[in-house]
Amino acid sequence: MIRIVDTTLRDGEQKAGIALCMQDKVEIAKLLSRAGIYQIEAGIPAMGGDEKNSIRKIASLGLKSKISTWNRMNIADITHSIECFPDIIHISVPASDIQIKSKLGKDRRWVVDNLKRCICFALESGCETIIGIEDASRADLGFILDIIFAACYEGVKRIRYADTVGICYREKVYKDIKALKSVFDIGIEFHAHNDLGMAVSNSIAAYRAGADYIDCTIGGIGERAGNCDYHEFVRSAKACLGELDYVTLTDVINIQNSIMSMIYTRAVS
Amino acid sequence: MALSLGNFRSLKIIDKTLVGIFLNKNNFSADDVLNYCYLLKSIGVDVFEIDSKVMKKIEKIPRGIDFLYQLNSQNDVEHCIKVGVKHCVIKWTKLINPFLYELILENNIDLTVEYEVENILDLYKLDKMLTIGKVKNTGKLRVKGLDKIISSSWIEIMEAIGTKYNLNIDVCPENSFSFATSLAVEAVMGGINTITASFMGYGTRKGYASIEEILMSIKLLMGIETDIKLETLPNIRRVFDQMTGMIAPGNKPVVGADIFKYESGIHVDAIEKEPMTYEPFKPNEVGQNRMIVIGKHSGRKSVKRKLKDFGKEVNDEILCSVLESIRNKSIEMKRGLNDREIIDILSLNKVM
Repeated sequence: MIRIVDTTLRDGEQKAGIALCMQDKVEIAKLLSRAGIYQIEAGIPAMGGDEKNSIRKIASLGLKSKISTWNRMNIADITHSIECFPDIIHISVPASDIQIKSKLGKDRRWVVDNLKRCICFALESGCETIIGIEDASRADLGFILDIIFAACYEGVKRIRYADTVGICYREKVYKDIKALKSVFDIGIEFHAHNDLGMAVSNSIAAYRAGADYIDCTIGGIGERAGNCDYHEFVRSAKACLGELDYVTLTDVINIQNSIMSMIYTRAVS
Repeated sequence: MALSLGNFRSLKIIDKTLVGIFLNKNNFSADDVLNYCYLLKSIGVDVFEIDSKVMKKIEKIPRGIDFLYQLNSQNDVEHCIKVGVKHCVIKWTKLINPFLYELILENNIDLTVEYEVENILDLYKLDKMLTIGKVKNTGKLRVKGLDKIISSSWIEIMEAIGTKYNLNIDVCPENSFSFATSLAVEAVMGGINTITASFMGYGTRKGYASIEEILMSIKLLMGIETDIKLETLPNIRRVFDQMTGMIAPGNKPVVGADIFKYESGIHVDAIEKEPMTYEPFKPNEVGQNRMIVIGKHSGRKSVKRKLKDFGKEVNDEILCSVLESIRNKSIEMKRGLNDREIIDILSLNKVM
């Protein structure tokens, strides 16, 4: 069964030029929950201010969808998240050498050691904790296995495979996810970016390989060419896999239109 | 001339865009059409599928461009012969007309027969159909659709069909379920040497694989030396937008106007250290430039850099105050801020 993780309020809102107020974020979260979305990634509490207040508000609504927060791999970010009382804390782990060296100026050993500290800290709060393998598609598969092993040892039960720069193709996705599934009995989530126009196709391949959690955004909005488009994914999953029968395409289109209208209706200036 | 993929392998991409455009519009000149063709040639596409409408607009075959004439009737066959287009494509159902088939054979037209499939089962039916004879005699088969194929196992079946019947295979995926580019890339990776696609996946029914997505995928994913150059994409996009009247979404892969705009502090910071951290390809590879947007998600470093552009440097306390004002204003406006608005904020914070 496919569980959709909606990241419109996090990766979607990161699309340059999009800025949602608390009221919009709360309304969008309610719409997504009514649509049967399994999990809503509500934002980045470490940004503070209006963003953190919005996430705290969403988490307090008692929505059917689980509410998660996105964190860099540091205690300060996770502390901000804990203060919002989410259901799930997501910790993003840079996994490719280019991310580790260029972005962080660190090495693989530091990543694993720091990861363990962050997971323990997050789990102590009582929140479910999942990790995101950032730039997994360009990371060494052996190191990804090391990261997951360390995470599972500390009690993590789900990992996200993130095709951060959108360079996956479906055969690679299928093989990589199958490889992870063959080693670990954990939940796998797939996060696609659409830089080469293959986000939906890759997400279908990920599910076929055993990733039950699929990340989508409304309108496919997100960094650069965006993420896996929710409507297109639902359409494909229904027609080609016989999945997602709890929602109709008409409902999906209506939800998409309502949310896009909220995102793009601007004040006159 | 086909695209070189190294190791004595070449790829032919047939562009179906014009046939789609001419279905709905005709208010442009022959020069517009030819300009489009020559621009596509600059990125390695030099075979264009046309029909009688397109041919009537341009009147004669331009130098250095190959056409593939879409035959829908006997009139089309006669017109094709008259204008001297040597290569044609026809739906296999039309070959049931014996008169049409004989007319094509008599005039030595190089023919591709098009057969539609939706799933793997249809490919097995195709194998059976090919034993009939008319199709296999032509030597060229286009497999169109493939909409519901979700795994790469179809490639082996295609290769087997090509070998068994000695056919040159052209793959034309349709985009009913957003798989078209994936299918086209899979086909190229699997050894298929002719792909039919369109610019931005344009097509009035379900759409097709996007030429620009296929070319960039080949460049990035196949680990081979190619002669693919995509710097002219913005020019192609302008001509295409003019002819179709379309405004493509800003996040359209490879050619969208927004794909190199960044605001998130984490991304801006990382890209400035090493662009490949968050970019699969550089903006200048596709004729674009990077742009930093100042707004709700901006970090301290972006704002500091923007202040420097205005010739200002501030301490951390004022920087925090400016950043908070920027975030609040961006939320109020529901967008990124322009320079005027940023200057107003700086004035309020007594920086300017």
